[in-house]
Amino acid sequence: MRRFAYLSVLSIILALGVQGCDSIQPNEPGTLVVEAFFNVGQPLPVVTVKQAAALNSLTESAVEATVSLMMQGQSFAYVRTSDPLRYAPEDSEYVIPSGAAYQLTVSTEERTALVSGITPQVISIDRISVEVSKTPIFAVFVDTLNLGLDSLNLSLDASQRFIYPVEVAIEWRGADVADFNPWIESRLEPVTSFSSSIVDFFLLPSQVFPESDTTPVDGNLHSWSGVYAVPVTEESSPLPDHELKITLLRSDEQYARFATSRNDPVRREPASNLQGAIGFVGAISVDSVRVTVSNQ
Amino acid sequence: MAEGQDIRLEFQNTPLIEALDSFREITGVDVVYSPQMAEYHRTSCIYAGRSVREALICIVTGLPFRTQEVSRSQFVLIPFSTSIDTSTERFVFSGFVVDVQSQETLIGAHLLLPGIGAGTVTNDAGFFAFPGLPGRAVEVQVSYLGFSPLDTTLVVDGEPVLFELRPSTSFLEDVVIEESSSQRADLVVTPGLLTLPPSELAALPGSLGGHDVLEALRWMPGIERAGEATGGLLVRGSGPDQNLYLIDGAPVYHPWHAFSLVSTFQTDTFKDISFYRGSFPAEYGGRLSAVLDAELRDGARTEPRATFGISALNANFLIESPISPSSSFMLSGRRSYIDKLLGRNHPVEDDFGRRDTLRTGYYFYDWSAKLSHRPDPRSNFSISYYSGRDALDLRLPFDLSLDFSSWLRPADLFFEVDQSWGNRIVSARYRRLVNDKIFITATGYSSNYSAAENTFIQPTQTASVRSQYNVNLEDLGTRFDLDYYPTLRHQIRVGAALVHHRFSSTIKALVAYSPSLSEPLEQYSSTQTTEAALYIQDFWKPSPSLRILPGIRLSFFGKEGVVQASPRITAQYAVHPTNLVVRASASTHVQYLQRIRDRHSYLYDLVSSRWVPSGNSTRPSRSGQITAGVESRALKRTTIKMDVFARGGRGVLLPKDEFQSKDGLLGPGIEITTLLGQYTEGLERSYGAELSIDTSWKRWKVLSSYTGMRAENRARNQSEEVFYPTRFDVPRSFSMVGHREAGKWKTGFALIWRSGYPITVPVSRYQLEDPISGESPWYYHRPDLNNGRLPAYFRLDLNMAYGFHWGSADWSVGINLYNAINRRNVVGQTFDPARETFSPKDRLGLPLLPLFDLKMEI
Repeated sequence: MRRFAYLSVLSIILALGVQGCDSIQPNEPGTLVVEAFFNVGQPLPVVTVKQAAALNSLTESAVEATVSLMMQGQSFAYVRTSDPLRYAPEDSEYVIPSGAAYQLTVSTEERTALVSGITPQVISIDRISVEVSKTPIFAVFVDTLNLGLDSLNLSLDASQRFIYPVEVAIEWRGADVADFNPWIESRLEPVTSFSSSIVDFFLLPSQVFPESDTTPVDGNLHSWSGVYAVPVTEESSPLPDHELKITLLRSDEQYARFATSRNDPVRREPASNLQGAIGFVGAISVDSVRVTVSNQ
Repeated sequence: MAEGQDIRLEFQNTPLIEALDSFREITGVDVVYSPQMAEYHRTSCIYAGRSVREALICIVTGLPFRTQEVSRSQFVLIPFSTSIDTSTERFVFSGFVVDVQSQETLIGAHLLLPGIGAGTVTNDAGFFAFPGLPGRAVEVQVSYLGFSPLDTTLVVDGEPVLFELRPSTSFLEDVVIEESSSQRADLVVTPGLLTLPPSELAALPGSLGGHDVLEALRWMPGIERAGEATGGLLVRGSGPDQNLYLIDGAPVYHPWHAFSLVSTFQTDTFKDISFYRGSFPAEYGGRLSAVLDAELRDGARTEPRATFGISALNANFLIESPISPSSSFMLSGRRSYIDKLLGRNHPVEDDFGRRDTLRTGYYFYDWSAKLSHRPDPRSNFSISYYSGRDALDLRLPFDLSLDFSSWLRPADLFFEVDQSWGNRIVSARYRRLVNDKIFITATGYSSNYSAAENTFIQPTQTASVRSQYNVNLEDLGTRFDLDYYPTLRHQIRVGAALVHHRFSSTIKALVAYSPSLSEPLEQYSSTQTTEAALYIQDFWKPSPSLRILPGIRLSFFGKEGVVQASPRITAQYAVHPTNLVVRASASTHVQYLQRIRDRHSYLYDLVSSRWVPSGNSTRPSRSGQITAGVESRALKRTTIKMDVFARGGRGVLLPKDEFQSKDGLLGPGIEITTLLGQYTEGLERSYGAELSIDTSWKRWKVLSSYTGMRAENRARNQSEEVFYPTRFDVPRSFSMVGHREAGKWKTGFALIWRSGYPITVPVSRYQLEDPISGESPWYYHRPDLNNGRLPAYFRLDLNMAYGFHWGSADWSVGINLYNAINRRNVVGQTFDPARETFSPKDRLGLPLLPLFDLKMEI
């Protein structure tokens, strides 16, 4: 009896210990989000200032803020536009120079967000070459490699179809600012519908890399090559004529962290470079060309 | 109670103090005695009569006490005068304790001299010594878990004595797993020590990996596994790389098979396993959290023995035999056989006559062997060998599924994975009883961990990935331990260790995006370093009730000669020998090697463990821990134990970017500095309480454990100013494991309930623009790491086995139901911001799995 009572007391203690809710569902909308890209050679951009939405909402809310920019020792005031989330510069004539130090300050009633940096040198695509496979090839189409030992999920749900791999080479002049440590984002965006992230994973439709990693091929002429795929229905199908947007972007290491962290929203959010807010504000230089790719 | 009334007493091997309490209660007569003199005595007595005096004499018959009536209601228990020589001569009583059947030495056997209230336990060689005895005649009680106790009197003649214990057959003598409540552990004062008699582990319900030492540990309080059925051991909130695993003194760097489903510690091959939770004596070092010290069987010295078994995952055997009167050997092997069932190579041919060979090979194996030689009663020499390896060899098309007909054909697009990893250990040990007071152990070992990851992927006809990655860690070490027994109150152990570590890894990879565009990666990384240690500890027994184990370990590491001192102390006080024992410890530990892996590339560190030594860019990690606990055996056949602990550590490596996981091919490379660049130094802390109840009821033996604990991290040099829950922080965990033997049937159950693992839950969502495409996808904002939890986890496993004799062998056939109630636990959640509503996508755990087991012994 004594033993029974003793164990009963212990059981009650255990029950009290184990009860309670372990799962929580945080919900903290209202985080300040700031977003802007200072594109060298372009006018000052609109700055987006907003509050993050609630988890079950697709509506971000506006916030009253004071936005100011210092660039190359010059101060620029921003005013709210008709879109309450956006602030435009009063000076719409100013063109962003390269190698300019900048600091953006966004102040609300509750907090102040800060970011600073240096604008990169202008990037310009000097030459491109496109090489198309003569015939389509087999490729695996699978969207996820979900092999979980714990869940005994062994199906890859993959299929094989035909693609035309298209190789594109881009050349550009390297930055000559030694201490800037520029990074490059290159991207090939064909205007076709294509839905195999795994094929893209093994090809090279885009890349983010330090510019110093590309060895100049001729003087200061840098080169990058990538491959993208165009799907076709049959082995005998010709390559469909399509438009290709080729982009080179030069920025800094912070942008590289942002660019490499934004592609998997299920897993993570992009790395922010702001103090006092989330989002991203950076200086970039972008050059894009559009070409039509055909079998001719 | 008046003389003349009926008195009925019945005691069977009952603690004397408990018997005297009952006597008082029944008769109303007080008995005065010295608890220190009486605490280690047990009595067996059946009395039915009316005499108080005779009843009391019945209780003390056979014990070194006489009774004296001092009043009508009070007696005094007076110890017999021991036959102390009037001379100043002192004697040493020493010897070994062995299993009578196999002649294996028994580590940690318990010896008591009730006449003088002294006790000790045997060391790693089964040796004990009682120096400074006043007389030659010694009454001694010898006991060991799972063996019938021995009670005898002998005369010391200066030669070591050999005690042979017989395995117990009585059910009531069995013990599931004894914690420090065991007979043995009340002399070994280290709180948190778990002694795991391998013979008893088989009684526990197996998991997916069958009967497994490390799997059995998860039923103990404060111990979790980093996953549902797989993953390393987490002890009191520590990381899996903070545990030291030893086989015959040599470290095992990756003690797992089958992606951490099965451990390399095959139960039957060991004669003794000790697991120190959180605090360990100064003789151990190099890790922050726990030590598992396992000793391979020496091999039967009397007659050959062989066992064969087969379970759902593997088949195994063990053979042991004497070679000569002074030597023996043990050889065991284990291998998984799923590759034999599925077939490793699958020749296929299509309608056009094109041939290919698909491969579906996976297996793991272990070889353990030990040769033991005892040239004389005072010395022993042994050589141990262990080799275990996993090998995965796949060549499969991408479109594989359970519909084999759809893909069992020559593959145009396929992936080949050829991975292997494993340990190889050779250890040689020499033990010698130099004289009655000094026992030495010298160990030399080589421990190798190696892994290879070879990959070839052909996702399109013109794109391919080929890589060869190798990791190697080689330890060459030696250690020397000396046990010195100066007096009955002191047992001093000193030792030194020296080990040379050599780390190397290579990668050779080529990613071909097209026939004319490819990217190579070729790197070699190598470093070596030396670690040395000196330690001293004293097992000090100031009084029969108080035992203290102070110690200090000095360690030296690297070319810079970093010196770290790690003092530690544990103490135990028996307020009452059975009703209440109090323990406490404070210890500090240092770890020079940390296991980390690349967090970017799919081409390396998939299955490999990379150990990185501290050096210029990383400091050694340090931890400190304090523990206090109580233990009570006040209830019959029940041991209740409770510990509270707090531990803190610094210098542990934490990911710089917790959200970064493998997402690319070539990645940043394998150089150590590059790898370390992905991590940052951090702090860790954990605190909690553990409760365990070990009880027998009828034919059931049940161990229940509850742990309430928090484990938190904080990265240094980052914006995080506060501690956050670790990835496997489990605030509440309850487990119960029980088994019952009735005739030929064995049944058992195991249930576990715990809080869900932490997950990082978003708190809001926002859009950000891609400056190139202009698209603005939604993202979830996740500012706080591990701010949420998965739903609580619950699982019930059942097992049943039937034993029978057939032919000339003993057979056992059993079935184990993993997740018997088929509860689909949530083991992971993801959040997709592209969905309009916020709802997690669950990843479910394993369903009900029936697993069989067959064992034969001749």
